[in-house]
Amino acid sequence: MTAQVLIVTNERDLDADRVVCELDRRGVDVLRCNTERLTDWLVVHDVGHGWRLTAPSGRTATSDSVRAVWWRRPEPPTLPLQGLSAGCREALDDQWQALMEGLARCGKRRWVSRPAALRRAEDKLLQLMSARTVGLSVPDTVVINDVETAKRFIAGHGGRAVAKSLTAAHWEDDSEAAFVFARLIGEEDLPDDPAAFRRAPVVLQEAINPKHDVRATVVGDCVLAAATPPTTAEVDWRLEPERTWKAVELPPMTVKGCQELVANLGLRFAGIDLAIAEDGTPWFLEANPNGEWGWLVDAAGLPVPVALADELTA
Amino acid sequence: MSDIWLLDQATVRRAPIEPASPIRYDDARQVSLVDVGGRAAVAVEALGGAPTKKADIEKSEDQKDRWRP
Repeated sequence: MTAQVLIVTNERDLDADRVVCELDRRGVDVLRCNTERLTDWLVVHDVGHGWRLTAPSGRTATSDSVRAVWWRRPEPPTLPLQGLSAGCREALDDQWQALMEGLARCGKRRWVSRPAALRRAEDKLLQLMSARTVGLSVPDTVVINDVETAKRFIAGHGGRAVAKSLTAAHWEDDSEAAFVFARLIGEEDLPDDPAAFRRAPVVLQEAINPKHDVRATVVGDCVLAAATPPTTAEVDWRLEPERTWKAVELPPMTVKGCQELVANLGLRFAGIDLAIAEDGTPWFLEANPNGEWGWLVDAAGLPVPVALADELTA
Repeated sequence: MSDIWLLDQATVRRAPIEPASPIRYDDARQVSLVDVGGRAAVAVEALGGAPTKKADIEKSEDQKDRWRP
């Protein structure tokens, strides 16, 4: 029986296309499950024995045939039923999510990465503590809703600090989309009303500024890094899509730290954000357990699809 | 303005996101500009399973058919 690679993602995942192309080029049998369409699939998990997914085309993936699973960006299935309340939809989404994530409990095939590990690794505080244990430098960080302590933290770090959300803070309605990016702030940016600060915790972090931003994409033991030049305009490079990126080699100790961090978080993949200070010190900022990488292929020539294909077929 | 400082730090943009003006949000919600099947394609990707707006994706039908099981 030919070993398969199963990719669990969504229809709009263009980066998954790149990996499918690479696997296809190698002659690997790939089955891609776009989870919006899960209600068109048949899924049987015979608990303790094995599972089988059958695509609308009739192609199958089983716990015996699959060599590796790339758990990428699954989304809730699009339900054909109209008139369901939001609560009903959420309940049904939960059933599908539990079923699909439960596939990871059967067998010892490779997962890049396991859903439970991905969820655990999203914890930014765990990331910071884990980074410190593997020898990476970590900026002073507090999570806080006390504005007076926030003022003291900022004053104690040269009058500036980076403010960011504890988890991705994103919301949208019919007319607007909003996201809380990391921002460089001073005491003057804090509210006069302490209650406004008390109502939601925020992360304050020692600012590494100016800095070179580095995204280290870790795939298994492979570390592919790209850097973007320093700027003082924004501390969050995501606000500056015009930035240029180029491939760089990280110091061996930093590579080792990134590898160990990803392994300790139970992951096989992560996009790690580092800040290289003017004195050359690499500082760990955060890890993105299922981070994006497509722009780094285009902008810096990083062979991430090749590394992922290697990992999925190892 | 809200009465919550964290929310007031957000960058707000008009939605839906126009594919002609790709905006890189973040790892969770990123606009990718890639070339698929010879045509520019813009996609808005979703945060960890959260529902997203419909993105305009100019994928060629060939590509869609090829990769959809």
